[in-house]
This record gives sequence, structure tokens and C-alpha cells, in this order.
Amino acid sequence: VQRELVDRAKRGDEEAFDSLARSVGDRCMAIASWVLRDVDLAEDAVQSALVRAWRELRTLRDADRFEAWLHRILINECYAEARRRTRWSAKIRLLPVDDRVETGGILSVDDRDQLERAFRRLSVEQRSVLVFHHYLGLPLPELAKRLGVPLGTAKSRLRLATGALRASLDADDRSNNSQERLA
Amino acid sequence: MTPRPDADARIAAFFETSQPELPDRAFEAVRRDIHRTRQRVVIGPWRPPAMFALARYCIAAALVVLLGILLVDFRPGFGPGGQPTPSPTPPITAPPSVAPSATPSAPAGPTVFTSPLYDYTITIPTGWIAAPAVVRWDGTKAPGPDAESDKFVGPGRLSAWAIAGPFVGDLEAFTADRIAANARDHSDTCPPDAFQVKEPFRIGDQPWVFLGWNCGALINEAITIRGGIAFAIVFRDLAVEAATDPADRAIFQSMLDAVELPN
Repeated sequence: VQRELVDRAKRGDEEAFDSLARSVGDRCMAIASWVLRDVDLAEDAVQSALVRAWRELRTLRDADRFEAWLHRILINECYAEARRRTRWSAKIRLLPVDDRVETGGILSVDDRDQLERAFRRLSVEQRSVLVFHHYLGLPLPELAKRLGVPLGTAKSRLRLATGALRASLDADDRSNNSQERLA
Repeated sequence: MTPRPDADARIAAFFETSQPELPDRAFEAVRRDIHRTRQRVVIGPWRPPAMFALARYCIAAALVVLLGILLVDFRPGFGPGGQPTPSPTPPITAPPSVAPSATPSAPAGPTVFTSPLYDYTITIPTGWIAAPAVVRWDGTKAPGPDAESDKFVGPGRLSAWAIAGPFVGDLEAFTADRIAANARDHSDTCPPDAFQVKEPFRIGDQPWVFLGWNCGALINEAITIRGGIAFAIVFRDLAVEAATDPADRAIFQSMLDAVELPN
């Protein structure tokens, strides 16, 4: 169905593109939210990516790769939004902490806060690798292709970013253990 | 005390937390935007994807060397013992398809050039030299004086180039596409008010459109569509800061008057 919609959209069918956008929009919003950690910027990035995808759609050769192609556009828009955020940092509206999160009891509130802080300290490029790997579940070769970086770069970014998140949890665990011993 | 899940499990769980959905207003905004946004037109076939980058570099390097040698040979005063000086303009030489009576350095009169790739013919004024395109235009950028264009270099700061490729749409659509492409691809040098002239005209029975920009230099473009193939011939005078100039228009018109398109 998506292939047919892409083909129709390539011929200028706006309804078909609207259907496509609605089928992938939420996932794009999630990716952008993860990468940018800001609701408004994420929304802007997704809108820009969708409009750019419409403009460039005829350059897409394989309709089956539409979403992968769109994700690459989206990530570039996220990078652009992040650069703008650096210039206009006063306008940031941070992503609110969602207390309704269900993670099967694995993740404590402290864990989430630690991870959130560590995640925000990462560069947008490192965050992108983590999001594509953990949220989209992409293997490294596909992840590298989708981000438009060499495989070695993707591996390196994933290793560093994962290491940073692990370190934040380890530090938290050590702190908790010390407190338990003192008690 | 219960053992804590390992760090990787907690990191994986972190990425399972819910994220905001794209609100309806964003979809509506996209809908409005795409209605106002023209899709990029892809003209011509894609370049063969199997070509290795190294091969492309080798071909490009060989062409540069060849053109450089030919330029040195053809320019007056540049014999084997001459002292070459750096040239600010790219080396240009005569194409193999120029009529046999023409010589690259100093044609005796106007020369008929037949494009090897695009199959049209055009008359080159006396003193101009030509170099054919080496690769077909892929349609992803505004026509410029590079490898996809047949190039014509005149005296002073005059030059022209031409491209062609399949286009879905009529002449009006192609005209709009060229204007938009120029604004998109040359916004760094062309101010928003650079586009100033749009005039329909004919060469024989063939309808054409004449476009003029003042991009800090005179840019004139003649475009047409025939049999689903779009043709664009661009004339540039770096010495004139205007969208039109009578002398330039006369030279350009003399080139256009004898244009013959393939059937």
C-alpha cells in the first residue's frame, strides 16, 4: 500500500502524500523528540522533513525505501533544528517528564532521570545513533546507511553514547550502594 | 535486596518510554505547505549508479589534462616554447561535432555546432569556441556551465551554455520550473528581484520563452519544449549588470535564430 501511495504522490497526488505522512508521522515525531528532547523543535523538524520529502519525492528511486529515505531527511532537519536551538536557546520548551511511563518495572524513576540527563549531554549525532539502534531497532549497517555515515563512524558513535549512558547508571548505582552501606 | 537489572536492560527500557505524537495541526500545516510547494522536477535518466568514484575522478582528471593541453595549443602565442600563464576561465576547446570548416581558435565566421548529447544545432558567433557536454544533465540542479552543458565561450566576459532533457509538463511549467530552480540554486548570488524578464517568442514555428535575470551579471535564458524534451540555452555576460542589454540580446538572438531542434 505504501508503495502505491508513494507512486501516486510522486505523480503529484497530495491526498496520497497526506496518507503517507499520517502513516509515518508519529514515528517521525518520536524520533525527532528523542533526538531533540524538545516538543516544539521536534514538531518543526518533522514538518520541515515532510515538506522537503514532498519536494524531493521524485528523486526517490525505490518506493519501498520511502520511510528509510524520509528518516534520513528527518535527521538532517533535526541537526538543523539543533543548530538553530543553539542560537536561540532561550526559546526551548523541554520535553515534560511523563510519569505514566510503563517500562515493566525495569526502570526506576532515578534510573530514568539519570539516563535522561546523560542522554541530553550527548551530541545530536550520538543521540541519533542510539535512537535508530534502540528505538527503531536497526542493525548497524542499516543504521549507518540511514544516517548517511560510514559504518565505522556509526559503530564508534554507538559505543561512545552507550558508554556514556552506562557510566551514568553505574555512578548512580555506586552512589546508592554507598548510601546503603552507610545506613 | 533484589538485584538490579543490568545497565543495558535499563537503557533498552529507557527507549521504550512513550514519546509525543505528531498533532493534527502539524499534518494540516504540511498539507497546506505541500499544496504551495512544487515538486522538484527530475529531468533525464539518472547517472549509472555502478560507476566507481575512482573511475569518475580518473575520467575528470584526464579531461582536465586534455582540455588544458588543447587550450595551450589553440591559444595564440602558446606554442611549445611559450610561457603559459594562469587562466581564470576553465579550459574550453572545440568539440568534435563542430562543422569541419571551423577551427577552435579563430573560426573565420559563424560556426554551426551540433550537440553530440542533445542533438540540437546552434550557430556560434565568430570568435566563439565550443565544448560539448560530457555527461547528460541529471536534472537535479539549475543548468550551469559545467560538465552537463554544451559550453560556448565568447570574447570578453561572454559565455553561453545549453542543456536538454525529458520534461513532464508544458512550456509554461518548464518556465516556472527554471525560475524556481534559479531562485533555489543561485539565491546566494541572485537577489529575490533578480528575475525581471519573461517574453514569449518564436524560432520558426517553435514557441520559446526568453527569461532575463540581473544576478550581478546579465543572465538570459531561452527555453522551449519539443516532443517531451526541454531545451535551455543560457547566455551570460559578466561585464553587464542588468537583466537585458541590447548588444547582448543581439548576439544571443543571432545564436538562437538558427537553432534547430531534433525531430
